[in-house]
Amino acid sequence: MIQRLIEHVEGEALLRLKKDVDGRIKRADILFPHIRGMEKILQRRDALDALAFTPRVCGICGHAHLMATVAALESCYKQAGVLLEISAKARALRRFTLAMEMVQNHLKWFYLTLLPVVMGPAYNRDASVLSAHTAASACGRAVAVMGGQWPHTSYALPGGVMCDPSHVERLQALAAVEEAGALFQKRMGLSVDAMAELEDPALLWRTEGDLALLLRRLEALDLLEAGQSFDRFLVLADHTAGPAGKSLKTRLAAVETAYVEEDEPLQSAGYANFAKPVRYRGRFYEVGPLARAMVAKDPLVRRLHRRYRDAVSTRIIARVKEAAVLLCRSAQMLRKIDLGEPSYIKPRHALRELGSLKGEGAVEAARGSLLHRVHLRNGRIARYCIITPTQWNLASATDEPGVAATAMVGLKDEKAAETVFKAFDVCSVCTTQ
Amino acid sequence: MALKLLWLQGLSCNGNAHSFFNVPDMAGVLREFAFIYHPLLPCEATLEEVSGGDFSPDVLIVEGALRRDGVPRGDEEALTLITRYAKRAKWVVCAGQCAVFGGIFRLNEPDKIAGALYAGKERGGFLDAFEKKIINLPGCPVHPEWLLFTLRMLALGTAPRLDDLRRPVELYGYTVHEGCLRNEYFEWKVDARDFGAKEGCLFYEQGCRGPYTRGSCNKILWNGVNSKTRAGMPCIGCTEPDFPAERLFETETLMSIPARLPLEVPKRAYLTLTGMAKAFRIPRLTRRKFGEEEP
Repeated sequence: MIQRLIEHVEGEALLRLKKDVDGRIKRADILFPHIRGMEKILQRRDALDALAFTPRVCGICGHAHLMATVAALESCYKQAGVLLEISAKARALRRFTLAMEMVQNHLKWFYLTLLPVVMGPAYNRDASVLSAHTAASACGRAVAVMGGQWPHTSYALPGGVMCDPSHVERLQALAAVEEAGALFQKRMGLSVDAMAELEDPALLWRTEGDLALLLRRLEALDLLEAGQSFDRFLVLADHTAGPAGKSLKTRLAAVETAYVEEDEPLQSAGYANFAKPVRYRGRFYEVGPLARAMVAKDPLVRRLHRRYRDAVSTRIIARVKEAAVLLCRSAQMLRKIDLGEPSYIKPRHALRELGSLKGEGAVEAARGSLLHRVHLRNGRIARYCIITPTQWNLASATDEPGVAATAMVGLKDEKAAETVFKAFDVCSVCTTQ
Repeated sequence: MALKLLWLQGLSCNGNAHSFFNVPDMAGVLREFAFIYHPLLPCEATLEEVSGGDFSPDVLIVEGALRRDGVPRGDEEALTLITRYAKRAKWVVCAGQCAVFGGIFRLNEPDKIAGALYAGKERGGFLDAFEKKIINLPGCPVHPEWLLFTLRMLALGTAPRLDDLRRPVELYGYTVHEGCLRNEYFEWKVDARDFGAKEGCLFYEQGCRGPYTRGSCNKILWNGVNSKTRAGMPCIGCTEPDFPAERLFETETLMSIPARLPLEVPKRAYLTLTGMAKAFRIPRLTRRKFGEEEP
């Protein structure tokens, strides 16, 4: 048994690898040793307080948690038969700030997590940090222009958003999007528009940029096809770059959140693990940018998938492409907002007037589908349940290895395992809130 | 010589590490500081090496709440690791609410989880022995520029002047209210009719805690551009020992007066001034700012 602490994954995870006689990986257990108890902390609190609490589940994707809370509380109103009016402007602003959080995540992951593990010493540390910083701080600024700050704003609530941007704020936010886009073009060797429209994978290998560099390195390491798993993809919510749905290989179908079920964490002798596995109709699914691209029938990703299936290369390119698509669409979305619409339309009732309610909110976060389930009694939280993307991708059940564990089986060594592992963009803190 | 920093975490969401990543001048950070370990940035050592080793940091940065056990970091408990390096470091900077007071995660087990010196409002943290080295930077998360300011002061060899909670006075000598764009509405007691408007003060209805929360959020803006209260979100008091309070998005009132008044303002003074202010109607402050029709 080889035990390896994987660091720099929004906390740490422990990887326990068993090898077969040829030295190939036979079994991979992934363990998340920390828990902070957010679901318990939320009990008995005022429902709206969840807007301030759940973003604090995670320092890098907290905004997605805010949006999931808003969606869950709005669905409580729906269950009570109270019609909420949400302006198109408020919806667009929510999508905009969420997309910006996703982009900062993707580019930080590329430069701070993935490049170091794939390139080894052959990369420029400072240049990578500065690239991640330029992109991520521009995206953070775009969120802050609308939400006041990033991370940890709570500027959205049932009924709309709290901000009231003028053209000044719109242009500030657009400038931030442009700045992130310019960094993307400078480092990746093609513009976000070109990347968003790219269909031919061969062109990617021919560009001069960090993505091409990384792909060539993966090729040299013979890892392009590594990391295949179940080839099943799940997207629980509509999002800026496409619809909800599931894809079994390339066969598409609709999804219903009622089929999502959590199980008990995998037990591994002598080490605590709090990552609860989650399944859809009893089966494991991959979530995240690759899943979204497969369900949205993205031509570039579909072509890569034909060749490499759900391998590490498809996964990586899907994520980098999604950053470009989100930057393009966000700018378009922001330009189209009618600033004269109301930001917030007060619900006709407070949640505490509505008795016992159940609600659910699904959001596509950077790493995939995020689901919040809430049970309210007279406006107070009776039960809150958070199911995060990393649970889908990383958590195994005692009786069945999960998506990432399956992706690591058959790999030649620990380095390959770490690359495949990190290509999922792991969030340790979310996994065990 | 670059100041040597060691960033270690207890129970944390990583929010302070990500917040710090928004400093305006990352090139300066890379030049001026050497990270022995940081959860995001490339650094000299791995956590496993830090846990097994004996590095000598100038500054230990603590992120996250502390608990005696059950928080493994590398090969040991987070608290053991943090305590060991707190002994070796010249300064211990507590970055964020959790490291200072225990924060939100303390609510899970209030008698077992605490910050470095405080368990909520009370003393009783886990790093009491190092009190003289500790600088507290509360906030959820810590403001990137507050942390950078503190580190740069230490790099110059001057500790920032601290208040009785060991917070730098030049950062926490302000209230969040100071510098808020809505101040004029506060002065003339014009409340925000609802969320989603740039007009009106959020203190009277929406729960804004800015007038009694310490922090320079409206002096040193977030992400260089904004603050929550400027955008329209009430301050939730995330730098204060009592964070998080109950019912954050509504103002608790006693006979229609806010139950908590601006810092050190006597009730009589508040009532006198607001009574006077309310007696006047300032047309400019009752209209929408750009003269547009109500939506």
